[in-house]
Amino acid sequence: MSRVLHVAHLYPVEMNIYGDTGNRIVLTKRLEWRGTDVKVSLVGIGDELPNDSDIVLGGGAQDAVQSAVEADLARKASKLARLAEEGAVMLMVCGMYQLLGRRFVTADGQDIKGMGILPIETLASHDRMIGNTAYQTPWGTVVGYENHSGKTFLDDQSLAWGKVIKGAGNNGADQLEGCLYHNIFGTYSHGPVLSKNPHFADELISRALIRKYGKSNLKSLDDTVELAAAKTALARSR
Amino acid sequence: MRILATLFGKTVLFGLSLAGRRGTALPGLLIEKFYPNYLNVMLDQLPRGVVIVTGTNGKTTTTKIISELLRAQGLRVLTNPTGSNFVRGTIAAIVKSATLSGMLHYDIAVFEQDEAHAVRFAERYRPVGVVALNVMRDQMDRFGEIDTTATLIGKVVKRAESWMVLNANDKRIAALAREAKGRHIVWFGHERSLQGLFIDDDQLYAQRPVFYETVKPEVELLGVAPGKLVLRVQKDKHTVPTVLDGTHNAINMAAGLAAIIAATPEADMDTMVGALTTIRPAFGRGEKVLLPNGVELHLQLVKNPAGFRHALQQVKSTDYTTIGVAINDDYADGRDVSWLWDVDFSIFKELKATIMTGGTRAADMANRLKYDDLMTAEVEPEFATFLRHMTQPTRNPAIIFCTYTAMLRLRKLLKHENKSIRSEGL
Repeated sequence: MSRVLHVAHLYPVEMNIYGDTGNRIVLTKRLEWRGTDVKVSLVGIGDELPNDSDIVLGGGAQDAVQSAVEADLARKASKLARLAEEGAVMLMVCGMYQLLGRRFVTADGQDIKGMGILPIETLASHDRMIGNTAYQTPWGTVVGYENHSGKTFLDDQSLAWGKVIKGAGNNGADQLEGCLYHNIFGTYSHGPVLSKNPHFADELISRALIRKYGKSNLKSLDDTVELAAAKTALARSR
Repeated sequence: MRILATLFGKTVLFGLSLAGRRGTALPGLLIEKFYPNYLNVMLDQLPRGVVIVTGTNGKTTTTKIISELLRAQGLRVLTNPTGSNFVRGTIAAIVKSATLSGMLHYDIAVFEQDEAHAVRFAERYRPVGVVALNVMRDQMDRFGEIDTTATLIGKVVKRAESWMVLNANDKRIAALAREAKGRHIVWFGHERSLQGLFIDDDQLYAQRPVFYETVKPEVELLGVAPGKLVLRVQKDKHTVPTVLDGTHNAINMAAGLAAIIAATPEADMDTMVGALTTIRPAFGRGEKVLLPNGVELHLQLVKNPAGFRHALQQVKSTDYTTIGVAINDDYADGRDVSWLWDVDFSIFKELKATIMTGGTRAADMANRLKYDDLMTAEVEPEFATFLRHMTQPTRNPAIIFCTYTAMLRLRKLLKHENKSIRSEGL
């Protein structure tokens, strides 16, 4: 029987600051190239988050739509939390990474409640952390591009999945990037982050397949093109 | 002061040219410092004032279209060269065009300004009218978010003395009508059936085209085909043969005509529509270069996802043997290349053309194409090699889609190798 994974993309219109849609393209293609079927659901404001989502994707946002998304996200919170606890694989970039945390403190000290799914807190800052990034991770070097001013702090630093080689990472202070909790990968990295890091993309795919089918049995792909792009990216200045 | 500053500026420009440099920033910078009122004093000489053209895509071409249509009416038009759309670049353009006695013998100025610079310029000098083209995602690392960009354009139209030209199909631009407060608005746009050609970012992400129209525009694009377009101008329908190809240029022409209605209401619109026929592409915007070995090479600037998507339609008009994509990631290109993933390249699948990638991010581009199931025959970050391979005699005709600094590099190499290419816009 052929295997199928259900990829749900949260707020593809509202929460998409530059190219995070690419993560969906990368996952879909890498599954298709291996003969795994992919069902894609675009989940916008007012849409139901599918119960059988295997992979949930989220990206960065515009300030102006953030409030609309926050209200809608509150309605999706319990289902998202349940999916997280059940081990659904999630990749939450930038704005969505922050929203999944416990709280966000704005520049004027306003305390905004987050979804409380990730054990993290974010403080607004006046530092724009912007530029090419590289992190050391359990899956090899991961390259990307960050563009944020929020500084995210993890309750438990061991949850970070990357050590900063280049860039600011979570907060520019502790040299850590991202958060891995249950199967949720939070990150500040665009690029899109999965596009030049096939090993990282496959880690997400593997986890989703293992959760659903008990094993991943991932066929290896020829990643020459991806790795060449990663190599160039790594050589570019910050 | 006016005379002294002009002479001073011309001296600096002359000095730079002796040093073999084509600087536009330095004279402007120095004049700004020593004669802060220079801009106002000089521009006040223009009887018909200053028009600002702003928005994410189409500024250069639309500025060129408006300027040429004004010239076709016998007006003397001052304009700023591409790439110098900063206040000080505009000052340099003024210095160059002024007489030694500091006189500007022009009737009207049309200046292209990117959103951030347009605000600074409009704060300094009130334009008579503003043409607001569109707001798309562009080099976010420079301007921040798209709504911020719309706010910037709002600040510019607020400074317009008498009129504004707005895009009826761009909801963020259309919303600026609230700033009209008695100023005349001339709308341009396209017909519903063309929506598929004007997919904006929101629609791409939602994977469905949505037609948005605020009002029925005065100038409306009804159809586009290679070499011609169909327009409705007020009540009259026109079929216009054009040299400027592409859907993006078609909508730029609609915007240009709307600006003519606003700026020169007395103009005969039939004549104006006729004048569109001879307008040639601006620097790197669908330019055609004929090389000595017989190869016709087309250059198409791409700066952001929406512009790239429009530009890709160009491959339908010519049977290209080779398609090149040259992506640089310098500051002027946008350091973040994530935007390539907001462009769908599957249109290439219908073609037999060989694909090559170039620029500092040639490898990224090849990777992007791989995920649309496209094979890149050659990945060549070195420009001279890339261009040499792109222009082999067997590669006729060829097209290169290139980011801004990639285009500058290619232009320089082409000029170096072949003195005869047209240097329009330079």
